[in-house]
Amino acid sequence: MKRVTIDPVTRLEGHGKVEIFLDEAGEVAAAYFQVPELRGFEKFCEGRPVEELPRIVPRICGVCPGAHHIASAKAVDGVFGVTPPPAAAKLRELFYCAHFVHSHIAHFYALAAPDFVVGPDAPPSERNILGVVGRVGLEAGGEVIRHRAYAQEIQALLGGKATHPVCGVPGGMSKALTAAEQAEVQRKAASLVDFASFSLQLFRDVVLGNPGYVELIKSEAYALRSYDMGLVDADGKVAFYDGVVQVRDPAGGPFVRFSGLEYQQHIAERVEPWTYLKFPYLKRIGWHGMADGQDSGLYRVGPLARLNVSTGFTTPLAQEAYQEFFAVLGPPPIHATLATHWARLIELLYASERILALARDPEITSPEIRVLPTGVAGEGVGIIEAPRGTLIHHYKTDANALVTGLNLIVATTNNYGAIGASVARAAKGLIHGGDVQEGVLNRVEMAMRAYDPCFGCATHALPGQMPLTLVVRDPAGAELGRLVR
Amino acid sequence: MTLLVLGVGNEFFGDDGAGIAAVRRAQARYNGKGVTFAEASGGGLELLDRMVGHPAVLIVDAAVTGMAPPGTVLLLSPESLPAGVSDAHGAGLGTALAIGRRMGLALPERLDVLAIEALSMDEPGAGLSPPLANSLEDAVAAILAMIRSGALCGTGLAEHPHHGQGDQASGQRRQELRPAQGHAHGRRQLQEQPHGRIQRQELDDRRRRHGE
Repeated sequence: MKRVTIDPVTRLEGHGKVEIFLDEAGEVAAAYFQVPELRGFEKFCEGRPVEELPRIVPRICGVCPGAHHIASAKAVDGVFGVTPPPAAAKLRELFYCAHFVHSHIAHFYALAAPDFVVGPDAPPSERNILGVVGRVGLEAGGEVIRHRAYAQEIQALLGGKATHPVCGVPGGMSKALTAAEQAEVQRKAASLVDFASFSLQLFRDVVLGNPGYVELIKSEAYALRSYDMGLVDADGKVAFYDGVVQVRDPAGGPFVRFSGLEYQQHIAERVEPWTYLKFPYLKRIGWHGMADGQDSGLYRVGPLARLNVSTGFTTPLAQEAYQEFFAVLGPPPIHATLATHWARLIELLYASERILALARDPEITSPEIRVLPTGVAGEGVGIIEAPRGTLIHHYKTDANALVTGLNLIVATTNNYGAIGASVARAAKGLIHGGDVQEGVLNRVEMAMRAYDPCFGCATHALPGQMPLTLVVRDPAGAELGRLVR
Repeated sequence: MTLLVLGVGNEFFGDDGAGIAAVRRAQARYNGKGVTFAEASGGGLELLDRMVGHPAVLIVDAAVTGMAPPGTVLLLSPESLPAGVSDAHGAGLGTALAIGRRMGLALPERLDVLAIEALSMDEPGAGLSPPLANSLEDAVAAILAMIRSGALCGTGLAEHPHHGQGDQASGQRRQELRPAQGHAHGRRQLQEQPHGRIQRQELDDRRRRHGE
């Protein structure tokens, strides 16, 4: 067999590595997505005062720190047996929606748009955010930078710091919102709603207006008929900060709903010898390898899954966009992995509208932002929707609230099996006759990039790039060729 | 006119916290005016947000370049950072600078990057590895020397609006952005200061060495 290695995968958060094995005829025999995961973080937190975790766990990653902070704050509430007052819950949600906005803008314009706005087969030197700016124009490019900064500024205003927030404390928030700050958030949120609408229109014009792209999105190489998981509110609408986990089967039927500690009854984790990351799967169905369909316990999370499990959004413009999404692609569930990019932009609109709604809520400036803990319950679970999907923090402590056990199931872990299955399907559908040209491999990568995977990372690394190296090997492992992007 | 000294990194990932540790120590040691000390933990676009509006910026960060033993302080040229390349965090520093230039943002006229060669940034945990802990003073001395020299060696990024349009231009770019005489003077002072295990090497050298 020939061995094709894509290492590390470009435009992913953290490090990933793809190994594609070709047979003698140059067809794909197998494909693996390997991850060097950082489980050490869970060990490193043991023995620490649990109230410190909301400030430590965001350091798992420089890309999704806001999600870890909020999930951690909720888990710590549980450990101390306290429920934050309504104003605190709203402030957390407001902060968190700003995190979503920031994350979704960065993903779409820097990581996804190069494939759609510039083109999947464009030269790599143009297929990047600079190329996107070149296509959409300087004015639109400036709007991207400005609104990304707005989202950061709102996070900094509420969170204390833009990147590694410190606002979530046991029982609530550390700081109330002043009237002047409320006005600033309202002003920026109104602009964010316009920008999100613009982004959706850009997607309609550039992607949906191009029959080739629509065909690509709907093609079999990018389909995965897995279960879907996501958080919904009491009305079944998409919820980011708090709700019940809803799982639907590949036909769209309700499979299970759970919350808090119940997650352990429904999710099991499979260990494979060739990767550090565990594969979660639905316990009741069982692990049947990286296969999709009704009989495989594989599920996925993230923007597309959230649209599939929910009945829509609580805000008007996002709800309209939700209906348009299914009117164009067909009734839920949608299994086209690349439709995730569209779903992400609809969520960008929802998060923007939600910030505005929360900033207009009179209660948002209430000084009642904290319930002081008086005892230690000793165990807490925080489940939220991270930009990349369902995120679970589960803490156990002793009577002094010192951490004795920690389990984190992050969005990318939830998606790990689905990503592997999607990569294998794309590789089999796209690589033929040993053709492993750059454009072909980029199309394989697109299958996983849609998930916006994040594998835990040291936040950044000089010189600030992740080059793509493609290695083709013969059956004996000798290098036949090498491609460096 | 303030100089921004920006420590970049993650103090819960071993040596990745070296830049932040060095900047904190330099801040405690510095008693002059005109310098803003700050910390950042994100990628290129976050750094871009932080740099805009400052006439001069010194970024201090840990890096595994493979060019020197762990603990060595390297002075990297910002122009050598690759622009227009796909990156794990949306945009690396080089790409972010290229975006800033194209957008006409108020970029610093001078930008320098002090990189502290790290041993490991992959393992979660607080605290630096022994070689970095032992040589942190070198980085602190380098930061203070660069502040005092008053002539940071970065070149006028904002004056070159057409740079960074693609990777293939990097050779040409390096030549165009060669520092002026006055800047070279500042660099010489740096190399003479007592703690100075400072090397100026551009990342292009590393690429050449790796035969890429």
